[in-house]
Amino acid sequence: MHYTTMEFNQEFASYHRKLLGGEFEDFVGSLRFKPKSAIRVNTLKTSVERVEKVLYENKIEHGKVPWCSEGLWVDSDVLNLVEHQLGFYYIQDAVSMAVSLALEPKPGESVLDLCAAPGSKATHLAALMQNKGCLLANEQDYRRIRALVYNIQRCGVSNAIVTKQDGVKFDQFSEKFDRILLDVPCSDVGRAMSNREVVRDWSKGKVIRLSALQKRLALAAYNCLKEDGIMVYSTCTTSLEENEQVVEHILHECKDARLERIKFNGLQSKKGLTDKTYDCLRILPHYNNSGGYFVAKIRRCAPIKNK
Amino acid sequence: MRSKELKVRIGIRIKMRKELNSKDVEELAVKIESQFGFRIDEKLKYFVKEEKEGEKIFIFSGNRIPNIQVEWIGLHFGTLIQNEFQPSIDGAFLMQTANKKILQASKKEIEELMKGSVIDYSGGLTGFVIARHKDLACVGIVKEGKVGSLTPKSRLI
Repeated sequence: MHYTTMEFNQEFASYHRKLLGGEFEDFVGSLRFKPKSAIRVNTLKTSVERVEKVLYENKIEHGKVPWCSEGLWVDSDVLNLVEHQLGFYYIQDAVSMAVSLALEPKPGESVLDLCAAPGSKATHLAALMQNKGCLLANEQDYRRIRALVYNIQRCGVSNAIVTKQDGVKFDQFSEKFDRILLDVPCSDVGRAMSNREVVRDWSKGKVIRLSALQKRLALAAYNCLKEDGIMVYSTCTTSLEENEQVVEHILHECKDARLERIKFNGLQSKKGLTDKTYDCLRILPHYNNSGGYFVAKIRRCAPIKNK
Repeated sequence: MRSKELKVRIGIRIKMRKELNSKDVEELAVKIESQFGFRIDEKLKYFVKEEKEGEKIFIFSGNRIPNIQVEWIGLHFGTLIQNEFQPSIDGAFLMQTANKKILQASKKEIEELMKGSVIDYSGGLTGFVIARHKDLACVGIVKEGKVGSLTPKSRLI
């Protein structure tokens, strides 16, 4: 993929030059290339060693993704291997594996994935839960539910329920979930390496509209958290409005919300760009030769009791 | 769950997904065991949904079901078609200890079935079979010296 000056969206360029400062050129440079391909081994069906053997037999060069023990970099197409259709692995952006890991779901817990399609993170959550507990995977768009169900079935997930609800109206589940993943619809700049339309269609107006939706979804999701529950808010984009400003909105509106630090070995990232969001992870596409992401981990703290 | 048709028995047609009671689960367990020599885990929850091709059976290993309209629950384990159980690909994967109607296949034959192709067969099995090669499993149907692929379109390689 090549972005020439003519193709480049000037509004996108000037916004990101201001946002990223000295990193802008590296960021734009990274959009010229395809991200490194990766797979996540589905531990509900097999083991990392077994999939490594498959890759070796098919002469596919591979290596470990440092921050995810089930993640493997691969150097060629693995879509049409029989093991893929049998659900032994999921083709997934390596950085996005960190999102489900940040949530740390445990077997037996109640977990909500509010915007779940196409299911890369939902199937990862189910694997981390060892198919125990309850995973509610919600998706509002009926067409995207088909992809979600396909992946849930292929990966052998048996503890999931799929629903089709408007995420903003999830208040019927007030304080019901131990953990919530909110991977919201966003302007997708972190995926611009694989989809050039992202840059072409980007506008500040679109970002502002998405930010308003993300804030509504974030408060609705947070309301579903049990006391001491954890919510991970993530996007695959770069803008301040869709990332730090949404987290600040949660912290402002929900007095019992506390941001928690996230750390992954081998994952290059930087901190959130504002004082209140310093503990968030901001990952640009050129950091890991993979997608760009923003990840925030928020705990709903128990109320402080008077002695 | 809201219909009068919810008093479900295996073999009785219903119109919506319904949890099987312990008697129905036992009946399902006996059927699958007699056909494939595999005993299902009766501690899990089982749901049934009537579709054109038969009654789809779903396994749910979760510990609670929220009160909400559901689009999909658990894992499609297989389908009861005219009183015969046809495992899904992922149901066949779960039935690793099954010892009846197992076709020991080569990896190439598994790949052919996953491509939707027919493979030659000269053994004595009939009807729905689980084709297995080590930990790879898929599903076929034996007819007239051939094994037909039962791989759904969406899962073809």
